[in-house]
Amino acid sequence: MMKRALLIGVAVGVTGLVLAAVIAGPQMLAGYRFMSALDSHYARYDADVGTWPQPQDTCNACHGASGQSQNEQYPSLAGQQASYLQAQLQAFAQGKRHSAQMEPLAATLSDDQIASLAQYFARQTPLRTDTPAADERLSAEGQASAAARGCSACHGSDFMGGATGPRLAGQGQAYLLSQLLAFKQGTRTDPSGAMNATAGLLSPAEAQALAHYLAGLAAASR
Amino acid sequence: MNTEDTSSPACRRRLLLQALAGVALAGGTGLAGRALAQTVEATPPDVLDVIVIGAGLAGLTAARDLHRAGCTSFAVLEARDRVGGRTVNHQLGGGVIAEAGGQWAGPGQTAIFDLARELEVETFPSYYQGRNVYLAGNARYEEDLSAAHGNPVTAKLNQLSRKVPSKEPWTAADAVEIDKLSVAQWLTNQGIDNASRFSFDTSIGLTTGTPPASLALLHYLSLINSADCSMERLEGFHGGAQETRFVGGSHVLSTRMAEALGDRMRLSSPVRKIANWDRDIVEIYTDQGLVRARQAIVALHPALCHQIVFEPALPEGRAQLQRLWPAHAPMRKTVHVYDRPFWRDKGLNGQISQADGPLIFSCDNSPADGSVGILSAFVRSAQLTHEAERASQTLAGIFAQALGDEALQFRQYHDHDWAKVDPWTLTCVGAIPPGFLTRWGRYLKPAVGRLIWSGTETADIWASSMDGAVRSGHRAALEALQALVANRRNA
Repeated sequence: MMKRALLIGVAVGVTGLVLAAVIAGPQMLAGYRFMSALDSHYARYDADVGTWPQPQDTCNACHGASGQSQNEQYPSLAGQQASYLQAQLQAFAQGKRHSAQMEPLAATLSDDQIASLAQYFARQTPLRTDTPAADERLSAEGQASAAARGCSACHGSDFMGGATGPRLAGQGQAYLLSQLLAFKQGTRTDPSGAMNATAGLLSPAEAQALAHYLAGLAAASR
Repeated sequence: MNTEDTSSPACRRRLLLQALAGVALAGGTGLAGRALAQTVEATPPDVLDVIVIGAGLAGLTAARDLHRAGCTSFAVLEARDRVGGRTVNHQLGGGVIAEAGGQWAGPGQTAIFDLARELEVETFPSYYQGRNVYLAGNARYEEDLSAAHGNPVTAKLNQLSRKVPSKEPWTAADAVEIDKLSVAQWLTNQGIDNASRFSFDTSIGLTTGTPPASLALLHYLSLINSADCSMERLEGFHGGAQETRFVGGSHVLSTRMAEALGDRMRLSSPVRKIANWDRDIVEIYTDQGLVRARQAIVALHPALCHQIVFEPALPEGRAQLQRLWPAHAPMRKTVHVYDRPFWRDKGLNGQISQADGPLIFSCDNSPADGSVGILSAFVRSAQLTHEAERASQTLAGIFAQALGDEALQFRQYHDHDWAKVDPWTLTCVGAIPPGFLTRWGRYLKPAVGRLIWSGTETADIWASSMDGAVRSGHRAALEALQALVANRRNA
């Protein structure tokens, strides 16, 4: 019978080290099941992302596994337009879009890596980022505002992104609001000027309603 | 205008006196204190000898050293309304705390242990006795790490680290070659298996805030070098840098140092602009007004330095270092409070590692007497909702899978996402990518004009840890005193 040496816990950061603990009995069964689950986990990574290591590892902490955030403060990249993602990474790298976290990180990426990351995240299945507490009145106000401001012209009729605008449907409410306010205040700029012009017209309450409405939309499959 | 001030004969005489006072000071004589007191009276009241920017462990240690050396003409500027930088406590009631940021110390970290003794802050051992739990999907596995012995991959890392000095790793003989590789690329070359990959991923992710895929091998080896060339000592609890905690939490070190400074400690004073750093008197523009000083100790993370406007612009190398220094490693740490540390009864130590969910790693963070059970957890920020009720339940469910259903009955929950709480941290520790240190490292420590750089990132030993912050504070205070002496001698 095969006995497998488990190599677990090289410190697991702060957890000390066990290396090569040969196990027996019921623990061995649990060990096999764990190793099997771990093997499947990494097999999915290798199939989906590529041979380890890949730069996506670095994105996961703030953008979620496969670029799907479950925290409304952090933007989802899954299912986002590749052209948009590429343009944003370039803008961060060149200091044209501001983020203390993203600027230095993007600056370390080559053009090829940026293109490849953008394509990778674009082909991931998007989900709703986080479910905001339901507020029907606020949603209705947001829906009316989106229609009045003509958001779908750039962002698509289902807000899953259009020729010039990124996916908004199902993005996190806090993230959407922060970006609307950044456009309004001019701390984020849109090369076409369209978003700055539109956001400049929004009252804080209208921006709140828009963010709530868009965050509550399901991410449609394409 | 400032240069005109110092060119007057009266001023030159004053500076000479101050220089003499500084020299005497270094000798530690009683005369020194009197001489300094006299010269301070002669100093224009609005120009300080030293300004310290940042009231974390580094800045406060520097300020404390200045104070203890007899310097009275200084102040500390802090952006937040609290001191402590990347250390702070959650107050859980009844005097019980849990640390939201840096919290551990261990063998070899002599600077912070000395500081704790001087400040009369007691220490106690972290609780790590018992078995760790590992989760992947529905699978659960537990293992006692105390029987651990070395493995060839860590032995090789330890061996390599001997040639990469923690002080200025970019000066290592093979620095350029080593710095081409990420830790993950190097690990791949060693042919590690999935269990090791998981272990290194978790371990390095926690220690450096970034996965092995984007961590420079050169930087990681320099961290191991700090830990007496032992990855076990760097990463471990038993005999490692996580072995010891501070009674009352690491934050107490900062609050005690700040209390002794009195009104020299100026809170809610974020620095927006630093002008004339290349002249005799530096101008520091804060939200509370202008402060002028002969020397400035900038005890900030390099990425935070980049948020400040410098006039004139900093030299190219230093400016690029600040612009490109990685800041993408914010940590999010949560706290679940239980009636008691129930996991200990089952022979478990509360340490849980999850391969494929929101939890990176949890540990027993109960007070020394174990009177309350506390589980602190490092979580993957975007894989867990921000909303407290759902986040706490999701994590409790994971704890229950690992430790039993008692984990569902928690009394309190706290969450600290360092990236989102305020703009004054930005990032945890050094997520340095390949190629960075060999290109920009040499601009990290040398003073620029009247600006002296401090902060754990600049430490010669134990950079990235609380101990490194303390060391960098000591060094910055010495540099500032020496610069005052030298400048006055030249005046």
